[in-house]
Amino acid sequence: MKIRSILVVDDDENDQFICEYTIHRYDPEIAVLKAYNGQEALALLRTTTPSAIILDINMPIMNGFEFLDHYAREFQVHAPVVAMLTSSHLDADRQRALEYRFVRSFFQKPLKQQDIAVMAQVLEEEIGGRG
Amino acid sequence: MVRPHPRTVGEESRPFGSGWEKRVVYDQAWRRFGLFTGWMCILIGACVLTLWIAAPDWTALDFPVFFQMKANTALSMVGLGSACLLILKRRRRPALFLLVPILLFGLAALYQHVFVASLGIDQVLVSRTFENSVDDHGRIPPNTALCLVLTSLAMLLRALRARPDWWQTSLSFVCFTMTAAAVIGYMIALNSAQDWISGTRMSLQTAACFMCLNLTFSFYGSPQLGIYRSVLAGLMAVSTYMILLVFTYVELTEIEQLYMMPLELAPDQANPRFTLSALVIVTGIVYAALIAYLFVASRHGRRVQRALSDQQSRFSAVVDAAADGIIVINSRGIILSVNPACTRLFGYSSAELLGQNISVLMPEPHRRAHDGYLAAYERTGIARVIGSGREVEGRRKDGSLFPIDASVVRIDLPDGTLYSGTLRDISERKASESALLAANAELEEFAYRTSHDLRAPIASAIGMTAIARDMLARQDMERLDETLQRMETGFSRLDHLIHKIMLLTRTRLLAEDDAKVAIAPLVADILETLNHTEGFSSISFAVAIDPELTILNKPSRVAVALANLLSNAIKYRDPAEAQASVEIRAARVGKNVVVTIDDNGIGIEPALRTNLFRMFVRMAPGNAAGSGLGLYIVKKSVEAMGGSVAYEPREKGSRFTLVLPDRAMEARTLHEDSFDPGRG
Repeated sequence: MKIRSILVVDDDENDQFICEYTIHRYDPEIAVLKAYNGQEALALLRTTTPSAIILDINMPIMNGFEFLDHYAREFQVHAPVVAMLTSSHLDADRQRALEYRFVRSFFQKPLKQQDIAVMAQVLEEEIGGRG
Repeated sequence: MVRPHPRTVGEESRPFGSGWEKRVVYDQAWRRFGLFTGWMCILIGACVLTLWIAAPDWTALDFPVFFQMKANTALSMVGLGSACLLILKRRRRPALFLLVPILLFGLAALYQHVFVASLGIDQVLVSRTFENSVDDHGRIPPNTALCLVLTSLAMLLRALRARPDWWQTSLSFVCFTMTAAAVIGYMIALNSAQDWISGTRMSLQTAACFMCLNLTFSFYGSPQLGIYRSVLAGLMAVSTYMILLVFTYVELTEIEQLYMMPLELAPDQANPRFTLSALVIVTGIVYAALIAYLFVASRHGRRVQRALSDQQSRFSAVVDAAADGIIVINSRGIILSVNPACTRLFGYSSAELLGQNISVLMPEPHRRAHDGYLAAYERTGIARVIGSGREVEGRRKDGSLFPIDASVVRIDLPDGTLYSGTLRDISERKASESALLAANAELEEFAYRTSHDLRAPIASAIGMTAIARDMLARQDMERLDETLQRMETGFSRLDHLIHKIMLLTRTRLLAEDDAKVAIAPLVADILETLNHTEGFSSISFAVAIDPELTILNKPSRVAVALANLLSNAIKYRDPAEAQASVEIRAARVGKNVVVTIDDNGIGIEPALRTNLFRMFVRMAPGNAAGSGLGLYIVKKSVEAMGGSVAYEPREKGSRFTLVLPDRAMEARTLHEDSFDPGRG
C-alpha cells in the first residue's frame, strides 16, 4: 500500500516548502495538502482523509496538541499515520505526543526522505494489520 | 467601643509588668499616712492649746481629760506635726528649725524629773492651775518628756539624712512601742501602761500622736534600709505585747503588796505567781521564736521573690524586644498580654487589645468561629494551630489582612490553661515567594519557547541547504535561487528574533531612574528611526499630541513600548487597503498619560486575542515574520512602569492603549491634599 496523500500542518512557509519538496523527491505522485494551523487542518480533514499527517507542534491559533485533542474527540476515522514534526529536542513533547493512539512517529525538523520511508512502512503495517 | 481591662490601667508602658511598682505603691500609702498624722498632730495640739489658753470654766471641770495633755506638750505636738509634714514634702531645713527647740525642751523637761529641779519651763505658756488637777500645773510627765526627746531626735535624724537609718528606725521603734503600750493600756484599763513611772500619766491623745508619728517614721522608706515591713510590724507587736505583759505582772505585784494578800497559799500548792511569771517567760520565748521564724521565712520569701522578679524582668526584656509578636490568651480567648511587636503588627495599642477576645485579630470566618475552635480543642484535644507552626491570616486595626506564621503553645497552670502565640508577619516572604514562582514559571516558559523558536529557523536552514545542494546537482537553477532567497529571509528572521531576545533581557535587567520625557518629540524620533522599514512610506501618520505633554517615568521603557507598537502598526498594515493609516494620540487623564495607537491594518484574529501579550505569540499566522516577542516586551516594559497595555479590535484594524502613570502627578497629589480630582 503506497502513500497517496499527506497533509502537512505547519505555520512556517519555509517548512511547508521543505516538506513538499522532500515528499515529491521521495515520490512525486503523493498529493501534498497544506494547513497553516490546527483549525485549518480540522476544516480540511472534514472533507478528506489523507494517508498521513505531518504535524508541527508550535503554531498560532491552534497548536499541535490542541489539534490532536480535537482530532481524537471529533473524528471517528483517523488518518492511518500521524507523525509529529517539530524543531524541539524536548523529551516531554515526545512523551505527550505519543500518548495519542494514532500518533505513530516523532520526527525532528528538517523532514528527510527516510522519515517518509518510515511513514510508508508504518502505513504498510497498519493496513496489513487490519487486512 | 474598646473596653480597657481593669488590670491594665496605668500599666501600659509595661504590659508584662514587674514586681517593684508594688513597693512604690506601699511607700506611697505610708507617705499618705504620714501626711494624715502630721495634720492630726497639728489639729489635736491646736485644739488642746486653745482650750488651755481660753479655758472656759466648764471644760476643766467637766472634761479634765483634755487637760491631761499639757499646754507645752500641745505646742510641741503642733511643732512635731508640722515638722512631719515638712519632712514628707522634702522641706528639710524648716523642719530642722522646728525640731531642735522641741528636742531641747524635751531634754530640759527630762532633766527636771531626773534631778528633781525646776528650770521654770513648766509655766512658760500657761500659768493657770486647776483645782482638781492632780499633778503639777504645767509640768509634763517624764514619760511624755522621754517620748518627746526620742521622737524629735528620730525626726531630726531623718530630716538631716533625708533617708532612714538604723538609729532613727530604732528610736522610732522604741518610742512607738512605749506609746502603743500606753494606748492599748487605756483600752484595757491597765494603769501602769500609761503610768509606768509612778505618778506620771501620759494622756491618750499625746500617746496616739506619738504612736502615729513613730509609726510613720518606722515604716516610710524602710525598704531603703533593707528592713522588711512585715518583720518590723511583728517585732513591734511582740514588744508591745511583752511590755503590756510585764506591766500587768508589775501591777499585780503592787496590788498584792497593797492589800497584803500574798498569793502563796501554801508551799505545796501551786503558786499562781510562779505560774504567771512562767507564763510571761514562756510567751516571750514563743513570741521571740515566732518572730525569728517570721524573719527567716520572710527573708527567704524576699529572696525567692527577687529571683522571680529578676527572672520576670529578664523574660519581659526578651519578650518586649522580640521581633515576633507574642500574645498570651486564656482558655476563653481573652488576651492577657501582648508585646510591643504585636501592637506594631496589628496597629492596636496594648490597652486596646488587653481584655479583648483574640478573634478581633482574625478575619471572618475565623473571627466568629474561634471560640468554637478553642472549645473544640479543649473538648477533643485535636489541635489546629496549637503545638505546630501554621500559616494563618491576621486582620489589622484598619481591616487589612496579612499572612502570619503562627505557632501556639499550651501553658498549663494550676489555676487554668493559657495559650501563648508567636506571630510573624510573612507578607514579604509570601510576596517574594510568589514573585519568585512567577519569575521561575516565566523562565521555564522562556526556555521551552526558545528551544522551539530558536531552533526552528536553523532546522529550516539545514533542510533548505540539503534541498539547495540537491537542486544544484540537478541543475535546477531557477528554483535554487528561490530556495536561497528563502534561506536568506529565514536567517534575517533569526537575526530579528535574537535581537528581540536581547532587548527583552535588557528590559528585564535595566534598573532605571524616573526622568521627565516629552511624548511628542519621542514619537517623532521613533518614527524617524522606523522610516527605513518596508512599507513605511505607504502609510499616512496622524500624530495628535500636545507638544507640552510630559511624563515622569522610566524613559527607555516608554521608548521601547512605543517603538514596538509603532513597528507592529507598520509591519501588519493591510496592503490591500487603499490608504494605510496610523493615528497616534496622547493625553493626560487623571494621574496617567494615556497613549492610543490606531491602525487600519490586518487586525488580530479573535482566537489569538486572549493570549496576545504572552511570549512567542505571533499576531499574524502564515505571515510569520514576527518574533512573537514584541507585545510581550511592550507588556513587560509597561508593567515595570506601573502601567498597563490593552488591545481592542477596531472595525478595521487594531487599537492599542497604553496607560502610563505620571509620577510627577502622584507626588503632587500626595503633597497637596487627599482630594482626588478624579478622571477626565
